Amino acid sequence: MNRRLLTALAAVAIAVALVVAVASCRGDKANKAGGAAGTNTLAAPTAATPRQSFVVYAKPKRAQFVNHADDRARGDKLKSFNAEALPTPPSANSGKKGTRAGDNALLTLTLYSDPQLRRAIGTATYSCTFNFAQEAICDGHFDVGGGTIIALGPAKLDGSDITLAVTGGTGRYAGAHGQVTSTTSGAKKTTQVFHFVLV
Amino acid sequence: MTRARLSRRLLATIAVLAAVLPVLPAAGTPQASQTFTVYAVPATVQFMNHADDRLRGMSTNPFKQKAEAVILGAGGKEKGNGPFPGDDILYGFKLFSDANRSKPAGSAMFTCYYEFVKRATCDAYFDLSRGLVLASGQVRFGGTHFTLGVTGGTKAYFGALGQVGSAPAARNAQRFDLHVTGLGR
Repeated sequence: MNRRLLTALAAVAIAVALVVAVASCRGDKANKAGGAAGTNTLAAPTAATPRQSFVVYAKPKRAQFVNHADDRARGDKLKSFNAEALPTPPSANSGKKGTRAGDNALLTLTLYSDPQLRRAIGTATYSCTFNFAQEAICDGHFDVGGGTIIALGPAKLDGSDITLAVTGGTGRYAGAHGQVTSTTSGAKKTTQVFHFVLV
Repeated sequence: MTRARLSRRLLATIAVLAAVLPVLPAAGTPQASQTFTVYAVPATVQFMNHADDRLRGMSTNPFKQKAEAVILGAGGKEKGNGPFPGDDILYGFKLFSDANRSKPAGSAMFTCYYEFVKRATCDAYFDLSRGLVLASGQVRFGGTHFTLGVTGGTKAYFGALGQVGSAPAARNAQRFDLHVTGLGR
């Protein structure tokens, strides 16, 4: 009887301890959100969340470039804001070939699990808006393996490496965060290698 | 082992567990946070006026309702200079870590896509020496006070969340207060 009582007491004590642990951690989170503004602080990391890392290969399928030269010209003519304080790029509408601020690039890619590009596992789309110095901000959606990974960030789209931040996802990637790095490979540099690191 | 000794050992175990468990972190708790300020000086801007696209959109569109009911202005004539829905503005900033602009800290780019009543959804990235911080949110045209949500980051800001507060600073600069959480995952 005494042993049973002690076992029951132990169970209650563990349950109480767990509740206290969770409550104290929630309190920490609230303090961090509300109390750190205006200070230069770097809190020490505690437990690390396991990372998931994988590689997929891709080949471009379709591409559309949208040239907004007319919208740029109208935008330069109609001074909607204090243009004197903010200069437009000097070669915004030079007529030369190349990307200009405001142009769009839309791309779709087929994703593969192997570098030989034999086993298709999904698709990816890039919607990019160019800003300055031939750089674009790209919104990438990767439909792969029962979910979508959403990534965002700057890209040159000239074959150089791209690192986008993973901002979320759906399905098995719901709540995903991390980054994806894209490099080119193959003889003609047409194969894209996407290296995902997610938490 | 006697019953009394067993009881003492069990009570000691309970005491140890009760002391240790409250300091264990809960799953999903942000691991580290960082708060810092950068001062942004506008470097370049491009305004994109999509008046022709809006006009085409009046005659050809996927909506069921009458175009006149949903288009701003009659017959495609737009009053004022906008920005109107569909216009976008691209801003480039040079960043400094001090208000005197003596310590360069990187660059920032805002891509703002206008919706109605001169409000835009802006995607921004802060290209800092230790990595990228991405942020998104609503900004009113001409507004200097706004807050964006941090949606992610790369390298040192891997997995970043948090927010960016914006306020005007001296000499046509903009002050950005970045509160970045979820670091060190």
